[in-house]
Amino acid sequence: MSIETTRRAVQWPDEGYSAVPYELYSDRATFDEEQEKIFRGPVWHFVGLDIEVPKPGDYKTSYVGITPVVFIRDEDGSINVLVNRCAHRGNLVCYKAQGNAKEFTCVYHNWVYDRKGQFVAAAFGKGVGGKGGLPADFQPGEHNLQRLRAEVFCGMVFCTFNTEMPGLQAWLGETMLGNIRRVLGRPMKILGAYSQSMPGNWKLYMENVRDTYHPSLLHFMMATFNYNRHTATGGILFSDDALHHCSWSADATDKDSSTYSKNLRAVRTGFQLKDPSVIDYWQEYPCGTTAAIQSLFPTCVVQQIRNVIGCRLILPKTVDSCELLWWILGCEDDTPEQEAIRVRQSNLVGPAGLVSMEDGVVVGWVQRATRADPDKTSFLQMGGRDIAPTPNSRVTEVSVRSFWRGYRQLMGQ
Amino acid sequence: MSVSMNRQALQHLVSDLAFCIDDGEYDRIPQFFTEQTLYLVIPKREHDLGRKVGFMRCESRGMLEDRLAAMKNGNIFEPHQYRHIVGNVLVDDTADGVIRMRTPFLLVRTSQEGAADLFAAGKYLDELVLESDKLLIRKRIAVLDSHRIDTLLVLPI
Repeated sequence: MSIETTRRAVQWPDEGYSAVPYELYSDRATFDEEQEKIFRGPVWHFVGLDIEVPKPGDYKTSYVGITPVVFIRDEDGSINVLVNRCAHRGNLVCYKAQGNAKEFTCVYHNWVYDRKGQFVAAAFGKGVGGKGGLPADFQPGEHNLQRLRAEVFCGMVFCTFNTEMPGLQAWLGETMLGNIRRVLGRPMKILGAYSQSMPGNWKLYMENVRDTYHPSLLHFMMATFNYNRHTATGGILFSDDALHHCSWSADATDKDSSTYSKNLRAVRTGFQLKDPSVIDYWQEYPCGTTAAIQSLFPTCVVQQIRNVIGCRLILPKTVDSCELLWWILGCEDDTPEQEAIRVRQSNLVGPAGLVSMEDGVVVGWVQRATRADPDKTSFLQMGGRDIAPTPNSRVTEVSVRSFWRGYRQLMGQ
Repeated sequence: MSVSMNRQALQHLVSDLAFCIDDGEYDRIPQFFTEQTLYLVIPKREHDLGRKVGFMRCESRGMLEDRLAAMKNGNIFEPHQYRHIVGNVLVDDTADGVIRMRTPFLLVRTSQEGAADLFAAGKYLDELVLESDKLLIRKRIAVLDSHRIDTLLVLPI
């Protein structure tokens, strides 16, 4: 006799993506399903930067969802992305975070793979003294490291498990490519890298990134020092399907002194910096954009906050925890003064970031406050209930709604 | 003027500063530093690569004061309690009127909910100088063994 249990499908209310069921932040079965449908689905996933593997043989480990992967620079300059798991008995092949290797050797039983992950040899594969060894019908081609499709754009390495989906650039679309090119389309260098663990579901962080409503309300330094306020010119751009977004603003246009003085907690009119050099900046882009936060579905962020440029990757760890990787970048041709400005401004971002530290906090708070009520939903109607680009306003949650639309489509919800 | 090699004074300074942070004597914290101090909190991995960007980088006592003021007046976070366990100071060098020393530390952060977790392990690389007969920190690099911070870092390490 078999007992069938049918798992109840996630109940989205009639409001659709403008009311998110809280169970999506705490349901373990959903977390597992995401690994299959999103992280192994028709999606390109960011894993790292090509400047982290400059020479042939250089490799770095990363993750796609919870799957450990490694990306390696091949002899011809291309980058291969492989699942970091030996085809023999599942050991971790690259156990150092970074290195250089002519080929991959799994230390457990000395199985060897080339830089494309092709099986080369297994220790004592032919036995010793005529005894033992692999079976006669062993097919080396069936025991390669699992290889993903990989593409690089402006130094960003993306990969996918999916064999049929369009290429990376077609999937991102020209609007999104344009912003990546603007910020990262130059020879870059890493000024710093670190990570931040958060006690909440990974989607809570992505909602926070795509939430253009909160920055100058939660992060008091933004309200107080005219960063990314709603009184600056700005808007939200989308890819064609609104899977990816880019919110932008130009602080030089923010001359309004009254809108932000109305009983908003984040406004600290008496607050003055003893050393204002931390907010020194130069107008780096001819278009005048001083802040642009771009999300590439489902887990990647490209940021420009004045002169702090870089990218982020959110990794799901458990249903109620995630890890955010940060890369803080500069340009190879920065003058010493420009680099010094970027280095000082780096105080604005990261887990100690003067305009970002609260994001980790709210992710944990929402997780804590919603886990007991999986049947309830959020109210995501700032700026309306639908999804359309808002070229002139950021007082909206439209890009959070569009994240959920994309999520529902991939998950079949 | 020669710099005092009184190890007790050096140990006292490091412990005193740790207690200021833990006990909430925030106004006293900047007084341990010179005006043009460098205070950097950075993962070991990054520091060993010679990188300059870490979690916090104050390039003057004023910037450190600003961080403390932001913490008191505007940043949002759940109240928490630090407990530094500071190890023995190891003096590396005292040439040219600068004391270069290292001190290991563990830092436990106890949350408002009651969880007492190891928040950071690392070492202070300190450079001390004498200014008007007072030993002050002209450079402190808090090198953290991990490159990962849990939730947020707001109170200086």
